[in-house]
Amino acid sequence: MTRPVWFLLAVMAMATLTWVVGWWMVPVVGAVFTVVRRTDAAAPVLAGLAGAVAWGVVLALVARGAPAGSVALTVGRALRLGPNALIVVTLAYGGLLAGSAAALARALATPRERSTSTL
Amino acid sequence: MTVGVAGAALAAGLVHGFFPVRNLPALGPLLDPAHGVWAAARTAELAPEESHALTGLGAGVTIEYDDHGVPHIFAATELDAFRTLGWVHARDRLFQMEMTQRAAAGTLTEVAGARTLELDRATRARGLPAAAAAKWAALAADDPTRAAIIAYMDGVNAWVAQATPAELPLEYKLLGVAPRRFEPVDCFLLLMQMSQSLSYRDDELRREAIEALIGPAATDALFPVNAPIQEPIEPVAGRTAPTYLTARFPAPTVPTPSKVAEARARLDDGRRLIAGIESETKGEAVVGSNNWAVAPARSASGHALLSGDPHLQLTLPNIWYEVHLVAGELDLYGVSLPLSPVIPIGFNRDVAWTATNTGADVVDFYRETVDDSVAPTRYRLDGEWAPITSRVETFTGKRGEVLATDTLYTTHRGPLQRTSAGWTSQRWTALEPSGEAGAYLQAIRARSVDAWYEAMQGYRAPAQNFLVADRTGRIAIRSTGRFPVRPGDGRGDRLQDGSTRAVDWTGDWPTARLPQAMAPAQGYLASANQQPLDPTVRPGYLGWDWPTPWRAMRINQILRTDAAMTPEKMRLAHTDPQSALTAPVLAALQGALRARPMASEEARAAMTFLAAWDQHFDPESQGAVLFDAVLRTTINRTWDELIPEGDAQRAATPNSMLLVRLFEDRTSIWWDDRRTPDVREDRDQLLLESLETAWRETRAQLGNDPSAWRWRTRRTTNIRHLLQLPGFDRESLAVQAGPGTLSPSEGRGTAGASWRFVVELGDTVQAWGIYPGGQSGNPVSSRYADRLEGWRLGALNALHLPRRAGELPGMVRRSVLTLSPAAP
Repeated sequence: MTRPVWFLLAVMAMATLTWVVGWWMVPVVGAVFTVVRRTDAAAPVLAGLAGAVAWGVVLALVARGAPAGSVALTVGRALRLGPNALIVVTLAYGGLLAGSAAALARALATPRERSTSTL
Repeated sequence: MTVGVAGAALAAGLVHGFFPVRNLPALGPLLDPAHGVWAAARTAELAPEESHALTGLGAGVTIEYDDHGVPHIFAATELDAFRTLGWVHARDRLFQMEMTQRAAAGTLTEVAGARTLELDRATRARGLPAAAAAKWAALAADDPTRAAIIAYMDGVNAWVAQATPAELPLEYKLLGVAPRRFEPVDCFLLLMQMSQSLSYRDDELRREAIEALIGPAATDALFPVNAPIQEPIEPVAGRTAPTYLTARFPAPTVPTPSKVAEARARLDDGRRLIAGIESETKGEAVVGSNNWAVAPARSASGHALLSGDPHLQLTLPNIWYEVHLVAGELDLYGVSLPLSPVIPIGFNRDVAWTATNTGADVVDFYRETVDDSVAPTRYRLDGEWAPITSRVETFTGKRGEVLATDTLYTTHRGPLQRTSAGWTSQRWTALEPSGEAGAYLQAIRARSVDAWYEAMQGYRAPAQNFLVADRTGRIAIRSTGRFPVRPGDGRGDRLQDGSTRAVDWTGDWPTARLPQAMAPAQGYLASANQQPLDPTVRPGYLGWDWPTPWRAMRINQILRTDAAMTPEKMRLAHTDPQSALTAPVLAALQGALRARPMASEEARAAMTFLAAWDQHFDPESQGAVLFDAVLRTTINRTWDELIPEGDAQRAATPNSMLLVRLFEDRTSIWWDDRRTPDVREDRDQLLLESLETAWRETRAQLGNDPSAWRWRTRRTTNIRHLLQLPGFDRESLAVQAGPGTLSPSEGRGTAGASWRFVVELGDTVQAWGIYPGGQSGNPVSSRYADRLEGWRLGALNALHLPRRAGELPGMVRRSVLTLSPAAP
């Protein structure tokens, strides 16, 4: 499978598991994604991107016929953020969780592979 | 990226995700796009059709929501209706219910942390939770009130149990807390909370502070037991205008430094005792409810008309939740209080009722002699030592950590607290046995005015002026509740020596003695928190420092002069722009100008401007701006003796009724401005200087061109969300309101008409109503503040009154919810 397909799979998995289980599935999928794509040097970045996109997809689903813009505005003001800052913060948080989990998984997995090959 | 950097980033993300850090809630559940704050969008609007199962129902229930978001609940039995009411309350107002319960139980710290500790301490020290528990425990097992409350709370808990995290109000996510389980006692906590807002006062301590500053004679004059302008709730036969009692204004004493210190200490005590209570109605009306009714002879349609206009502190969501319950013989429409099944204001197909606060003195304080000034165990009573009961209260934070513990003491009178006056016990009608919930639940079935009052026999607190009308055309009003009878001169406004039982209450006013009027010959009735009885006709101590009579005077003027009232005229009266206060003040200013031909050009210009004003407090008014400035300046200069030496604020302010009566005494010492020791000002000088100063300052603030001034820039209504969060509040609302108008506008503008309604009790009942806000507590719902603009403009919505399911016209039916019995 090509990199874009893997990326799409990651987005779908993150979005679905966020919807069904909860927010903490995003770093889990991010870590798994990197392990599966261990030969892809850009996997952590892609995982982070997938996290942000996945949460964007979920937001888009929430916004269908519902006042998500109003949430951004009113809750943003309540939290003393700018009008659209809540969207940015949400997507960035999803990206941070997925990307950092992926990067950690990559960093932890790499030495183990080296030591295995030595054996 | 190294392990360290990646690990640190992930750790930070997860720690902030799972745990609150400083004031921030856990970010994971907060920002989760499917279940966090974003989920508020998914639950904001009602689905066109919905069905759920509800444990405990005897039969299926249909709920039709109309275009104002009002649920019309059609149930087979009253218990099913109350269970459903709990369910719909929880769905729309769960967070409000949580906050109400916690505020009354003194457990706000568990969701808000240490910043609410002092509020919780004050609440528990006042005895609210203990009294609520006692009232619930006193209900007999077979009492129908008990069954109704249990059914209601089961409905609430059923919704909470079935709600997914996504469906919970977003405030829970912002605070990072989960809903609690609701208990039947919570209903009593809510009623206690209402009693506290409407009747708990620090009167005796406030009075001691004032006396320390100006002496007892001046205190009696400025904060009198009897209002010097009488327009009582109980009409006086043959009287067609307000009457004026003799008012004398003795000179104040000059306080010694120790008296000033005493005044400050008493004021501090008072502030601590009433911490967290905002709905004070003393003196100048900040909160001012109105109600009035006309008999068929004085209405255009020949039917009785009733109007309700209860004013309270305004919040989003509104304190009220509008609902229509149909179950068997019950067909009830009104405003309910989320956290209880009662409908304090409403109507059925035969009777309509509403209330204003009586404002009577129902709290007394006693100075006790105790055996130990730190941890008392006994107090002196009739020459012997009586035991003090004590209990330890623990206050916990969000994670269950102990924030503080307090030992609370109780005498036979009630809670005992330490004040600057020593150990002080209190007796308050609200803490004693009563049956408000049962009375309300009984009264909704009444078919006549008399049956309604009969059902309310068990009602004790907070005392309310209940106005009732029925379809036979009978109208009536009664100040309903418990009014203590005191020994001696009967007054309860002074701190008593508690070492003897001789100062204790000796009984209550009997029903026959209560302020009331049944089917009065004049054909109309009105109340506006004024002194209920004219003491020259029916003497007796009910309280002191009564609110101003301006609203009562204006309502009565409208009703006296119009024998063909209509619902539309009543609607217009709710936001009537005129105030009975303006005429005497303007007359005094004009008199001063006539008496002082050499008055300054500025004073003359200001008076010319005011004379051209139509005396309407509409948002675009220019004259209202100057009038208000002149009034405030006059008040500040007149009552400067009430500012403790070295302070910036008055200890108390006599209300404008006293100022108007003082106008009659041109040379009173009270007109003297203490800032000018070499000059002894008289009335005319002070008024002209106030006029001049107000004109000059207003021009400096708003510009030299008075035609550009606007009342809406000076006084607005500000409605805050329960958490006072910027995005959830609605502020700077321009309203038609001013000092002394039926919709009084004072101070911060956070109080106002919490519900306005008019009912015509004809062959078919018709009704109109509105409140500021909306049915939903969800700040992103279209039903959160959808009525606000209509309320601001004084509009009323026609209320839909279907008799059975399916009768609500399709064009106004927004959602149909079906609840079916679920297996337990």
